[in-house]
Amino acid sequence: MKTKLKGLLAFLLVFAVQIAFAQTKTVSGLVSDQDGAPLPGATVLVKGTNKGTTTDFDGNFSISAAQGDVLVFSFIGYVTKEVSVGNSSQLNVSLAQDAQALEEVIVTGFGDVSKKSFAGSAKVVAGENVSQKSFTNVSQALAGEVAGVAVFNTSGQPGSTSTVRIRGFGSVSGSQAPLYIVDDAPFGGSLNDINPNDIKSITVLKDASATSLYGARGANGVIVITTKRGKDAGNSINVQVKTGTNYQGVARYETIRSPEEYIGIAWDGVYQRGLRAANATTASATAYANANLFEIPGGGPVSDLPTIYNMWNVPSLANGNVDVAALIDPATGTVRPGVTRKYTPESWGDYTFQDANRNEVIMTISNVGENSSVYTSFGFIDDIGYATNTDFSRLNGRVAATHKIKDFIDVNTTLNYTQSESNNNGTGSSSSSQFWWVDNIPTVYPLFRRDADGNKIEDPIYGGYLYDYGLERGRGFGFATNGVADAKINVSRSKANSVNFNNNTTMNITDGVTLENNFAYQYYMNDGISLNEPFYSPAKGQGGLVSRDRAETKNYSIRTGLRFKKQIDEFNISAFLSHVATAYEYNYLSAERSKLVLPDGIDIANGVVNAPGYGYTDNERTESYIANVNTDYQNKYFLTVSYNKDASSRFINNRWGDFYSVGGAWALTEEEFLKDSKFFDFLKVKASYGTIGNSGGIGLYPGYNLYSINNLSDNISLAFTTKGNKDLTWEKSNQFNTGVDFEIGGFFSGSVEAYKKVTNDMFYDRQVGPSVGYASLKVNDGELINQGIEFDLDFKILNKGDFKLSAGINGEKFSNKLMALPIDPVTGEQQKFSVSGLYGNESGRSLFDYYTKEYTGVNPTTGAAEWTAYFEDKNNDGKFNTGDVRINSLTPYVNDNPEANIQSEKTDVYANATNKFLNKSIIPDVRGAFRLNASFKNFNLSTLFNYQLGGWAYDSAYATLMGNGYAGTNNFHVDIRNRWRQEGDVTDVPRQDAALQIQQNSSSSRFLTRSDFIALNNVRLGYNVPKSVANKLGLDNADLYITGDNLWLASKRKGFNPSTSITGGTGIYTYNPLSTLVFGLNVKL
Amino acid sequence: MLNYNPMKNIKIFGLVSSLVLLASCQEEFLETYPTASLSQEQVSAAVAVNPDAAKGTLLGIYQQLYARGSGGTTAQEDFGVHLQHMNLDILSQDMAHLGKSYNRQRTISEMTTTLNPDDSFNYMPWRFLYRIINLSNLVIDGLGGDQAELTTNVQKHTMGQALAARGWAYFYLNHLFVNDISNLTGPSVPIYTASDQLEQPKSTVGEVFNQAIADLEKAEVLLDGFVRSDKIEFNQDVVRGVLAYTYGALNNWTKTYEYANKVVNAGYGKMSPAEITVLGPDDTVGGFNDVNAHQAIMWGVTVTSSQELASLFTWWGFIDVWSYSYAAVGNHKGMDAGLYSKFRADDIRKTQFPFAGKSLGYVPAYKFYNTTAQAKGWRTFSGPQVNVDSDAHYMRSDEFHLLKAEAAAELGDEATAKTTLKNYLSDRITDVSYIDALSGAALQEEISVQTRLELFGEGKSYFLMKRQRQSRTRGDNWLDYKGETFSHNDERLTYELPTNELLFNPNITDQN
Repeated sequence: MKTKLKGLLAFLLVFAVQIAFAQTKTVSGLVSDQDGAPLPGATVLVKGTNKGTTTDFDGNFSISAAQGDVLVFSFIGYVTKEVSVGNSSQLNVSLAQDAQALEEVIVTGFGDVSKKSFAGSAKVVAGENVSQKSFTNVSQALAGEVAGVAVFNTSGQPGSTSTVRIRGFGSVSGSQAPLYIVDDAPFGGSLNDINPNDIKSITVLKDASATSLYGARGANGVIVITTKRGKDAGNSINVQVKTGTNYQGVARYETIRSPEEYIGIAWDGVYQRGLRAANATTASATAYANANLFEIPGGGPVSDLPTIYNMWNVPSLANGNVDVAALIDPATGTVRPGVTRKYTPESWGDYTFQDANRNEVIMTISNVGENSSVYTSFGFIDDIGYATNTDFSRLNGRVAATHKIKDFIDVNTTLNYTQSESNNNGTGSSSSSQFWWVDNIPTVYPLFRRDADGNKIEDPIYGGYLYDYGLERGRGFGFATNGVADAKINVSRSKANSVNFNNNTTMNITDGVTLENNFAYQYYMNDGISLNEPFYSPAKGQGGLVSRDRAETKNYSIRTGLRFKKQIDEFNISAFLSHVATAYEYNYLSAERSKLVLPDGIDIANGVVNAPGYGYTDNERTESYIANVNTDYQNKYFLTVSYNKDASSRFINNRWGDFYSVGGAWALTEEEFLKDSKFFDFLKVKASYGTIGNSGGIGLYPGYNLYSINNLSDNISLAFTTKGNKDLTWEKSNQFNTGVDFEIGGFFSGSVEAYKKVTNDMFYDRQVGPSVGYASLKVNDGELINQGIEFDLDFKILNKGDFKLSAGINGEKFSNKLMALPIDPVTGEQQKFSVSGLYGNESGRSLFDYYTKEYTGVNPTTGAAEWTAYFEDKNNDGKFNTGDVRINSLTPYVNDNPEANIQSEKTDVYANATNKFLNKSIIPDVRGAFRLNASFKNFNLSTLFNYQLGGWAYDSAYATLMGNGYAGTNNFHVDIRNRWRQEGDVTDVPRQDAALQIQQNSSSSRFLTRSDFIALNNVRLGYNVPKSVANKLGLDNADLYITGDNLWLASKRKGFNPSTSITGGTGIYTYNPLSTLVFGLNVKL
Repeated sequence: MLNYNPMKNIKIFGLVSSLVLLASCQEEFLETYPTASLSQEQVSAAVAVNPDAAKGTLLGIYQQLYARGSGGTTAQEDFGVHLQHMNLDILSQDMAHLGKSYNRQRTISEMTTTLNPDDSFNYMPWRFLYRIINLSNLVIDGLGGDQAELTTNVQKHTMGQALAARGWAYFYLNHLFVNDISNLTGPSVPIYTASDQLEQPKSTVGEVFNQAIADLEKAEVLLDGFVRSDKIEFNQDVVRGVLAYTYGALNNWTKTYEYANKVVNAGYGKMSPAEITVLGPDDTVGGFNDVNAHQAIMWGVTVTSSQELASLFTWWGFIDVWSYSYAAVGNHKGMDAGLYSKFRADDIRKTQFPFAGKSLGYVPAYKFYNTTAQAKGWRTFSGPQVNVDSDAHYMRSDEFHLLKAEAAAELGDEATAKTTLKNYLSDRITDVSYIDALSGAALQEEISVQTRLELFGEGKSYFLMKRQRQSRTRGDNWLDYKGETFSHNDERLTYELPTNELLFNPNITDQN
């Protein structure tokens, strides 16, 4: 094949030389904007040829053209102008700014089209919108930018990547994640490899006609990222310095902070428990509470609060117990006035949370020549989180070059290197989580160990004071661990290196026919480092533990294609045919040793006892053929048709899938009847339909029956673990999209779209009766419908002289409905119902409809929590009694016993309550973002708010803080103050009774919370230094700004942040996203 | 001017088009294979060439006995048969839950699991035991099914082990998911005898026991002459042990006696006091952490650090107060106080509980301790956090001395019962003459008590409770339900059929 290519090249070179024989002269001049300011980097083309150049730094150009030739001047954001070459060889051109934002270029399917002619659904986000926010990667910055795109910033860990969902939830068991395309190639690297500052634009493609151009993997939407080239920056040196602070700006849960208040609540719990013993009196209950508030050796414990944690100056009794009678006044259940503290336990948050710095420097150098351009950028960022030892630093360098060779070959190359390091101590989902400790440890427990007199003890090894691991007598919370200490003394780090290379070559073969080749390669190596030090950490039994793992990812894609373009009178046609192959390889290797020499040595050699190593390689390959035809007639009627055939190595018997799409648009304002409309400046209607595919979320080897490889007493043992399905094939969804784009009266523009996406042949982990020996089988079955409407509206409210004010709002409303569950092969009928966590799935409901127990409130007589219990009332007396059948789960019971006489009652025994549909789901009524931008003279202010209305989330972190454990086992939310205390109290918060009422805070509707929120996502105040001043300073341009991210959030309760997960649910281990304030300076030389 | 030659352009177009199409790859490009696990085809290929891998799928059955996740969950408790042994000891009221920190096994001791089919503690044993059955069926099917004519010894011994594993699993299922095993016509669990069967309806208790006996008796024959290389494998004696229990569950005491006696006479002896507890500071013989160190241990797994078992995910982490795990940090379990009170004053086994009367209570700290606890001077967290190397045992010959006595008493042969019991206890209790005075129910009760005392924590008491149709009362060291009495057929002592079986097995819609 190599030789063939060489021959072709030689042939093309000869062919190209022939073109050069036309008679020409040199035309030169200046391209400026309407105000006379030069436009560097504008494109000048000889019409009908491929001859072209770009203006230099001062807006000057020179090009050889023949008299009579037409020169086409274009620049992004300006109206293109055509000028004939006359006698003069001097030509000055002024371009008018294009008022219509609709002239945005949409990058789609390896080519650009103007938004005006685009039939599909897409939204372009300018690079500035992303780089202005203080985020290290594009995923977080997308929040609020596009209607129908939901961004969940799941963690405050600096450098973390957000979860992005486009248009609902497209699959039951398959992936719901969008496909990323960077510079025309599928991107499998880390999003952190791309400095947001190097991004020119992001286009989010939502409908079938747009996404199908990337092969079948775009079913969940496509995010197309285009990086900057020389021509985007002109001849310039640009330096940006940003410095600021990260802090915890969004509130945490309001918890009990006073140890006295905590011990009072704990006492009440034990007291209430005592009150429920046989023949109890208030006196006996008080005695019981006094005897059992602290845990004494050998006692029957309802307390996990050891006596050594008595932080008050109250005497001890003969049996070693604390004299609780001296501490607590039984009349009020609170600490007696006058009781003094032996010591004050540290507030744990003070020692683990801190305001931290964020610093960033970016330098870009760009140079544009006649036939080539180079864009070079360097960036460094140091981003430190508010939690101890959580940070991210990155160094990246990027070179992007464009070359025009022999007038008919364009080469466009980028090379990007990124090195990053991240520390993420104490952020896991375990007892090591710093956040769990700060909110949940009862405030009576100190961070540092205390001696009998309440004094801190010096740490003989690391200096400072000994942390309290709760070992001495068994602290009731986090016995034997200390998440804050571990976060400080251990190491949890990852270091990554990545190289991304992308080369795009296009050859003009003949008029209107181009051959394209794109090669993209991403290399990513991550070095994971974990050290548990030898003296205090969980690995102290082994003398410390160090482990390393290396994960290497290699991705490449090769695309070869032909593009054809032709204009026949008022009819334009363009088409392309291409072939794409991709390969993904992931290799993992780990090593581990214990018994460390140096307590902080992170190399394997530092340990002497070998632990087993591990390693494996994963591979994935895909191949696609893509064909597409775009036509337009009179710039009025647009039609796009595409077909693709895709294969994935994930499938065995049915690798290939066929997909197609068709879309059309009609620009009504081009018609005579609207052309002169005063009302409509622009109006377009569009519709598209297509079938696209998904191969994600099913693992790389779903076709095979898999056997695990195990060591059984040093023999090989192989156990069947996963049932495969060789017939598994592409998940397909049929997507219909329609919409209207408009601009009215020069001040109101926007688009409204509606879509319906029907997913069938769906990846479905069909559950089986586990008695068959496995748990589930992946099949293509079931049906899911997502439909919704999206709006994106912009208002230019004021434009008076120096003052400009504009606003925008976007939003989406969608529904998600499961229409069919998979067929059960035993019955040949559809399965009727399944449960997935807190959600029940049945036909006609969303995937996220809550199915759990129904909380009915607090019994005012007993203070117990109550739930609804359903039963089959066999004797029809309205009560549950002998012979009646308790119903654990309502829907399947009704399915199996349609004739049953079902009644309900309240129960205070959680185990007797019934799971049922609560007719609540996570799906919001509407969500989106709005912005308000203003500028006055050289000042400009922009704001971006995110909002969500409707929908329910399970506030699991709050549930934990409203628990009912033994004394000393968990801290409380301040709402515990509203708990039931005595008969007649009417409240929604049940009594505390030291775990007597079992499962009092287990899952139920009690903790379902409206997930409405409004958040100030970003605000930016900028000042452009006047050009005259800048020039005096020797600068071309300078601006200053202050920007704030994630500054404020209002939700149902403080600390409840439904924007951090897809379901809105919370967790006790969550690192809430950082708030960031940054001051920036941008200088252009 | 440009010399336009349409033919030339057509040629170029044709050339380039074909180039594009030719660039398509060969179909092999799209073939990938796993390496972290292996496909069935890769396993077959390995077995064909590698003698070390030949036994791989058979050993894969055994590996599930202790593998993390064999119960199909990611829970830290999900570590196979020993989780069941511990849970069953709690449900049979012999093992008191003394602390609930970190909430581990809380729903077992509070007995809410056994009322709530959604609770994953129901799913784990179900999935685990049916996994054993399915893996066994895969091996059996590979040999041509359980009716196949086998010619070589290797085939017979492989089939024998797979059948034994299947029979063993049905024995467990029939106890764990059936409230009253004495009702042989009552509903039990589905039976699968081939690996590719779809969901089956429930069989009766009698049918499941019959299946277990059929499998085990066939295995007993097939394993004749089989000399195992590792104590994890089923040999004839282990099979006979399971048969003795199965006949016991059916109250067929003649057969129970016959099989128990066979095991007693198989030459394993019994564990000595020095092996079951810590007799002195220099005693390094004891403990159950090395199955090969004790001849009387008939069945168990040798755990090496290469098996990568972390302390938090093993039986050791949950029972051993010296390991780095829950038992050491406030979630400890010890002997029921009522049962402990049955120890005679001169019983050496009391030394297994060195913290009796102290804050830890009746934890079996000198019965179950990891390999390094003693060497490290009985220090908390003296065991490793990861890569545990302490073994796990599943059966020891002692059980059959006691079962033999039990069967003899049931058969009315009190002389044999007494002699067997006295002989067994003679090195554990200084004065065993009190046994001579016992007869009838008192003798039977004594045999039962001694079985529970001896086998505490080993998961045997639950089966005893069910085969003897006993009731048990929680002692005063429990955190919940202290003083309450539970009958062997109490709903709360038996797992629920897990939700997924009810939802997705169209042939099963209700609990047992």
